[in-house]
Amino acid sequence: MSESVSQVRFVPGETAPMSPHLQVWKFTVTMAASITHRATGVANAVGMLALTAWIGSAALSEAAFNTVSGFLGSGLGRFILFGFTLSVMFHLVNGLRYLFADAGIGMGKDQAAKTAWAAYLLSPVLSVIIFWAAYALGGGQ
Amino acid sequence: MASAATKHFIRQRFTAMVQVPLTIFLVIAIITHADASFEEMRAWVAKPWVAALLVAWFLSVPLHMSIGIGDVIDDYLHKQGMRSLTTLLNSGYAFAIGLAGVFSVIAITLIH
Repeated sequence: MSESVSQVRFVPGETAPMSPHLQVWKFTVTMAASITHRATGVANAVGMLALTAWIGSAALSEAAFNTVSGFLGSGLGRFILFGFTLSVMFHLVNGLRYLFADAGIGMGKDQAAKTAWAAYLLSPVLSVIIFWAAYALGGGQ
Repeated sequence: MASAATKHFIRQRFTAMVQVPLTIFLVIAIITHADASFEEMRAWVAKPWVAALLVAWFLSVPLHMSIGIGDVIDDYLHKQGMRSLTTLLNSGYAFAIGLAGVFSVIAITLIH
């Protein structure tokens, strides 16, 4: 939030109407998952630059491809790719929660909390497996 | 379609469902092509089924991310000027990613 709520007045046609803000709320894991889903969504959009650059450079020239894959294979590149992988895995697993929720599955209070925790646990596990597999199969030097 | 909101709602879920299998395909593909040379990479992209799935990816993702980021803009940016500017940048970014991705796949497939 860039400005305090009291500073933003609702002016029809100029500002968007805002819902009344709650001053008292409790931290829940489903709420955290919802916020993380948005954050990882934005991060994934930025990460698409890496994927598009990788495929785009293969269309351009061998020199461009070597530059891009050289950067992505560097220490910094691998760090960025691991963050991107983690972000995509969370968005994928948590997104599946929402698709099931749309079908009315897993909406119970306890069940929703359990699956939210599962999203936080599964995404790093999947990311580590993916990087382990990339090193084992892709010949990560 | 009842409204723009309904259209966004359905499109966001449709692209999400499409991207679940596509993401799994792409992750496996990247794992096995992490050390691909220029020629290996082009030969892989040029396979018809790979090219088709990559084009599907680069059509679906920009739509999904522009709707999602559009929701974030609608929720957190309240001033009209800033909203218009970020909405424009959001659409432009999604269009650029989609265009670059689809064009690259077509170029590699046809020139290979």
